[in-house]
Amino acid sequence: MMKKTTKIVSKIRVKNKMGIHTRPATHIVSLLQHYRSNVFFTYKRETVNAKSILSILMLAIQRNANLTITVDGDDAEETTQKLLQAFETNFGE
Amino acid sequence: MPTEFSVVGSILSRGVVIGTPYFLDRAIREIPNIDLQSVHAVEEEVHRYKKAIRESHRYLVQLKNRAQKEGGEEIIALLESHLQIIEDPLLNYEIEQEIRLLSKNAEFVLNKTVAGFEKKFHAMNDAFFQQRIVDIQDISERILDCLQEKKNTSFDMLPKDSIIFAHVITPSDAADARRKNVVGFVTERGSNLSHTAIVAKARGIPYISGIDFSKLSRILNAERVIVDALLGKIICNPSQKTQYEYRQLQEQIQQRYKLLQKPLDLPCQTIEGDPIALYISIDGLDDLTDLKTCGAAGIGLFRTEYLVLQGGRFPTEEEQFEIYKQLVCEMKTPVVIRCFDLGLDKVPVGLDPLSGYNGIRFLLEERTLFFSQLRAMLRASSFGNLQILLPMISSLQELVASKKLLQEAKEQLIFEGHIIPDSPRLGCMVELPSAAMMSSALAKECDFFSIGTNDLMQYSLAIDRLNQSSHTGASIHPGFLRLLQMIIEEGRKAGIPVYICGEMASDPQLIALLIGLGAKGFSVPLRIFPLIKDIIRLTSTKKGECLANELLRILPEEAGLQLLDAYCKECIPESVRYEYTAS
Repeated sequence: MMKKTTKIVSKIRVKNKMGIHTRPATHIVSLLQHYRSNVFFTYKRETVNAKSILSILMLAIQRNANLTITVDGDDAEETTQKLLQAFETNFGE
Repeated sequence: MPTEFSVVGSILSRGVVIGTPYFLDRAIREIPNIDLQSVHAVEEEVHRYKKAIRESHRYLVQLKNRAQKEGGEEIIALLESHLQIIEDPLLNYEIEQEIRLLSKNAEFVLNKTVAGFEKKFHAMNDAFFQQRIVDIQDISERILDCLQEKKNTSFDMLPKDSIIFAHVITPSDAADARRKNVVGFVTERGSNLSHTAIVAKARGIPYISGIDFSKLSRILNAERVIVDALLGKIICNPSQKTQYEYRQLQEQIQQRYKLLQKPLDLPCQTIEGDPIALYISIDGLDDLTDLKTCGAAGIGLFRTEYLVLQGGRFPTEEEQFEIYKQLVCEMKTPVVIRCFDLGLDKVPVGLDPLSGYNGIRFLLEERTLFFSQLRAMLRASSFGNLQILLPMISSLQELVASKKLLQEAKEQLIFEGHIIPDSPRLGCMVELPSAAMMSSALAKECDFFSIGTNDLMQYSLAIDRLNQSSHTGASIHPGFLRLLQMIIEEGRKAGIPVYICGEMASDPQLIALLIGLGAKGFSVPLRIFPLIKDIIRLTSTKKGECLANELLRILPEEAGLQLLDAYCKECIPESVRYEYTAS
């Protein structure tokens, strides 16, 4: 039986003072490794795999950036929720 | 007998060392370009690449385990981030696919991919993001070494007292260096912000960069080289006499260091017995044991922005609380902690250095950040004598706004159930002429002043402090001295302590002058603490006052410098004077 896959697109504003630096990027990658869905970040017309730390760093996401998060998979809801939560709490910064 | 010669460079980590040069040849690497002829060959190549990744990963884990045993938070954090990078799909799955797509060898594909990353990172106008490419290049070098089966130039194989000469030294090279074998670094390129410099400093390895290697072809057969990372030069083929002098200097440095180990019971006072409070300025929690035993009155300045610069991000309230708490608990003396002071040469991300958006203005703008720092400080204050210092205050409003925020933080914490004793002391950095002129008003609203002599000098005399070669003349400028005198006097009138911080406080030639202007407290780096204490004990308050009165008069700079020189020759013994010209 095939599990139902969903695609969830969210838009957020990055509040971290120093943007998505090493630590938030590391946090995102660690967080996402537990989930099966594919996750993408889109920033300034570029879309990258959010499970790749290099890809995130190369987006050079600054503070106040408008970021689109796309989650696609059978655990899309939970993944999105956890991810948005991490952004909301500024990754504990 | 080859002649002795020196080459000047930039100091990235202080110290002096004599050793044998060892040239690390990372710059020249042949990247083969091979077309693979069959599907089988391509799959073999993918397999070979995966193996190289596994080996490199294993090596990094080994380094990390070793670092965890030997201690060194910066090194561990660095290696952890390297491990994340080496596990990145862009360096794994993507490269494997690219090998298949192009039917080329792994070295070629890896090199091409990393070159692509370099382009992207180079285009970023953000120093921190930019620095990440060094880490990626480092990892790429390691993978290439595995692919080419280059025996890891493990530093364990090097003879004792080796000084590494390289075009560039990667952070993991630095982490690999063992104290016994590798005693110095010399490179063509390198930056103070780099991880390598941070690791070198943490390890106490003298490091000079900016050396023009084309001048060094003559020393390929050199027996000895001296790295003088106090004056900023390397000496090739040093004569016996030079080697002897440097060994003497090393001895003296060792002696000084040993002195720090013994608690210094002698009181810190002038010849007349006037007590002078001598504190230590710090950037982090290294050397905590030495700080406790050196006999200082306490920590006069903890520059918390270094937590940001080293970690690459702002620490959380919890992280800050742990650090501040540890400091006050261990020290048991007053600890003055300055709120994040960011701007100008300590610019982190995205802040325009000339926008005036620095010091207290930055903090008041970034309320949440400021608030969480204040909360962490308040929480830690119940464990010891913690005092809060506000950076770059230029107006009464800024001080009042900060006090209001502090009060709010206190109330919030009490509401949450924390016990906050009486509010910790709150002081202002007086480092702007505007603040100096208003010091009478500021003194009424705060508990102490810290004079930031570097910035005060820069802003009042319009000189660029990063390029100050000889600024003794600037330090004794009558206009500047009058500003200092004003601040000290207003502090005295209001009954609040005034501490002198910055390079002037560390300058043995200027201590008497500062005491003569009324200074009763200084904050200096640990390494210079014993020297300054010696100088204070050799200073007569009266003579200092005479010197100050002379220099306060409008004299031409030449005359002022001569006066100062005459005073030093008369009142500071030869042996002590040698010490400070060398450091």
